[in-house]
Amino acid sequence: MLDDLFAAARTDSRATPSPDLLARVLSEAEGLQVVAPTPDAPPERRGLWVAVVAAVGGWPALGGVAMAGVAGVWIGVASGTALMQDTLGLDLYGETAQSYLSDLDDTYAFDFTAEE
Amino acid sequence: MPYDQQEDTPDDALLVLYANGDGAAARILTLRLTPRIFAHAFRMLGDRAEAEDVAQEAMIRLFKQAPDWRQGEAKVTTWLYRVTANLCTDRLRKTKGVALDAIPEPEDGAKSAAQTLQDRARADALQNALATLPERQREAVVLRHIDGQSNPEIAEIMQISVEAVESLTARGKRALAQALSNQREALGYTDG
Repeated sequence: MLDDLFAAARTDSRATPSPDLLARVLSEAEGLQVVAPTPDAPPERRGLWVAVVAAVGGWPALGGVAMAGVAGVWIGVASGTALMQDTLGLDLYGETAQSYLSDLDDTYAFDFTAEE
Repeated sequence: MPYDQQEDTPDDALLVLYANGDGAAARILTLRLTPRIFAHAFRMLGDRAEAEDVAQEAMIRLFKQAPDWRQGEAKVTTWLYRVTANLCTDRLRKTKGVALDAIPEPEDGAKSAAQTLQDRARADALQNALATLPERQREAVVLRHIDGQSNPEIAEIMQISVEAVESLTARGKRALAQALSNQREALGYTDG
């Protein structure tokens, strides 16, 4: 008889928790739970070019450098050969005659006769 | 970890997941453990409202313990049964007496009215007989014969030796049989 009563007790519906209790316990569980921390954002990967740009002061500074470079080229082209000394400019600019640096200055030439 | 993969996860691993903020672990632990300790508390106290309070308090203590839980040292259910038993003991010492008549019977459409009445009568008789046992005997008998715990597990829960558990359950069963002996016919047991 006892074993039968024990078996009956195991299926006694009064020993089953109410949905309300389960909801309360779950609510307590969630309230006590420490929310998992979101992983820190990985450090931004910076390429070499980005680092160089940053080193010279960023894009505005780089723009200034670029502008100065363009201006230099323009001054050089617009002034023709006037800024060049001697005849080197004319010779280098000329298209009709071949020019050799060695003709202009011996120091540009290899001295094959020189003793070692 | 997906919810369905956690269904078979051991309690202590779930507790670690819970401590790490896993929401699914909170749900599974609640649905897995609350019914067990509520049932135990109900059988110890014979009162659903009291048992609900005890079960809720025991679960709260478990969740608070989660960050400090050391995996592999103790079974979660052992720890939880021990906390539940202590809470029940506190309640029993404060409020003597069990008001079984006040317990509402949930509807059970699958059984006939006669069967339901007999089941109710048997459950009440057992509950009343359990209430006459000394607390330690009652706890040992409920853990062994209704909750289905093994003697070594009960020994750990009650923090006594296995031999002491065997002694408590044996004496408890004898006392129950004695208390119920004059109700055999009323409970529908006519033979043996």
